[in-house]
Amino acid sequence: MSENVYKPFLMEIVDIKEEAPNTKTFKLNFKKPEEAKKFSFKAGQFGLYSAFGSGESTFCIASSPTRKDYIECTFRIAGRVTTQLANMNIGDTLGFRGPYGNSFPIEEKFYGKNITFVAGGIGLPPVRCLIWNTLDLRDKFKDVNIVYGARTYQDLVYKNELNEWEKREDVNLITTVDPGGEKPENGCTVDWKGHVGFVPTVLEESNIKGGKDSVAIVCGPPIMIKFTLAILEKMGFSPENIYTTLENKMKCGIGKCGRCNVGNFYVCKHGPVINLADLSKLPQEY
Amino acid sequence: MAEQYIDYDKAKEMLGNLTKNSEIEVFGPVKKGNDTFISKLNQNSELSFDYFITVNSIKEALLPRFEPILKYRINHNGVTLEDLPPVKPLVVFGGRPCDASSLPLMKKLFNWDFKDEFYLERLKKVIIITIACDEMDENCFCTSVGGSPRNETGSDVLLERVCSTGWKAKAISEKGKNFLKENSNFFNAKLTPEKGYPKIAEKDIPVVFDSKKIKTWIENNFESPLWEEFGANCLSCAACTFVCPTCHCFDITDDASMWKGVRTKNWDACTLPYFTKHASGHNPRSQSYQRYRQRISHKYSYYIDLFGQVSCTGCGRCSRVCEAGVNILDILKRIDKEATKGGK
Repeated sequence: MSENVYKPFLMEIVDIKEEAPNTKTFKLNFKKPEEAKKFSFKAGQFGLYSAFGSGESTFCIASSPTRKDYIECTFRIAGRVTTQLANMNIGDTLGFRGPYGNSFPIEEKFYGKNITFVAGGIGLPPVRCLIWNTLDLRDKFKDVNIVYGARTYQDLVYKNELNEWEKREDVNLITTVDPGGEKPENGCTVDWKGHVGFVPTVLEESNIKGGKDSVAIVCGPPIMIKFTLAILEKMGFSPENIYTTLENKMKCGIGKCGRCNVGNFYVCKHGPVINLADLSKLPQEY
Repeated sequence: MAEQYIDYDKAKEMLGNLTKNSEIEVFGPVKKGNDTFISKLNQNSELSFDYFITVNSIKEALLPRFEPILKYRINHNGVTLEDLPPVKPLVVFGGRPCDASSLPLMKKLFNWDFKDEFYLERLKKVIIITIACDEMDENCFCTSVGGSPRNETGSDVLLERVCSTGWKAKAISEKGKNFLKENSNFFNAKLTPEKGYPKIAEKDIPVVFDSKKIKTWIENNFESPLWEEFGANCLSCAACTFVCPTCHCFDITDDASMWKGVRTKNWDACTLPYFTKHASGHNPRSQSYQRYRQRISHKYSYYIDLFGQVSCTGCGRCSRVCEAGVNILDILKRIDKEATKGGK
């Protein structure tokens, strides 16, 4: 029998970061150097991560393809697999299959444009890959804006990177927490200097401009996406220039198991990256 | 080569003989109560050839209910992946043309970009011995989806009934030819064709809907209230999908002890409530009618977009097993009528 498409790469956890309550980032190295050498991916692609004993779970690849030799994933504990993963330590082995799905059309559609990232809560990891990809090729783009919010200060992920982006002159970072999220009684341990308010509102009040030279990438909880899309269109972003990354439950990741489709659009094969113009043609099954 | 015939006794003998070989897996029709099922045969299997159609389909053999796709050991130094045993050659006896014609359809999916070698390897190694239909019931509609009672698609050998206790054999593929040659001592029955066989002809199963019209209607009517009507009685039990020759949805789960584990592909179904439920609790298809709409739309629209063919062979099994009386043929006929009426 030729290659088993369900066979994962074995990965070693080389670093673990606590991002937010129940949310961790793993840095993973390939156990076999020859597999690392052959491996490549593009921003927006995802993989199936396995905790041996519990099963597989789908997350995006959160690191940038411009950073070689390792991948990162960020996940929140939600079920059996993520619980086992969260209990793992540096040096432990997990499985990874991928990369799967399409990717952001960076060269074709993003080069030379203003790029605006809009993310909410655990929606930052899927676009973080693209953020670093963009920043590592910074001179290919005009303005780079990042609007990121979470329920509370505690729920903001990648706090170190937010600080780093804050300091950069070539990035316009806008952070926000939902009302109350800035208060010590809700776990805020700093003197919050960012905005207080919901992401779509903060986005609308910002100085970010739409227009045909501007691309927006949106990821977050469904309710945030819904309101953000309306605001972006109002700001002059065209539906072809608004991208999101769909998330539907997956098992195989390779177009066989039959559960991630939205109409005839298989999220694992035709997606997960899709623009609003195409998304609006699909039935509301996501 | 002279015409080859096989009767019930020789067929039993041949299958019994094949079953003795532990290097191959043999599937055939076995009677359980009043019904006949395609089952994996052992030396004690009670074969039955007097059935109209088996309750389940030959999917049972090609896409096992539980199939190991990974084996591993967990030790102090990490995880070691182990080799899986190779797929054994298979003989599947007793499916109908509406079973066999599902195989090329399924191949398109399992061959789509990433190759699922578990299915494809079985397909390569299987001998499909199909028995042409000699009876039909009100649930049959193969001719409406391009099939027929004597359709050869997907079969290696086609048996056609010539009398009450035997069939005439016809090799369809190279594999089938070789099989007949290797087993020629079982295909030498002296049968005299009896009058009245075969009992049915293609014209007995009239074309009752236009699948092109159905596709167009599905494309334009995702929000139609009719879907709620169609799915109203559905109990979300998934029996229809399990007996369906083309339903292929599966789950992947780990079964492990402290130090070793097996990852398996298991039958799953789009009609089950948790099938699409996200970890967050959000479920894009939380209502049973939405799931039923997915089942019909997948077969009669999405599959055509992806692979150019309706993913239904018209076997009618889903209607026969449905405890709630959901009848796919009634629904398809109704859609056809709506499409004709609405003109789109």
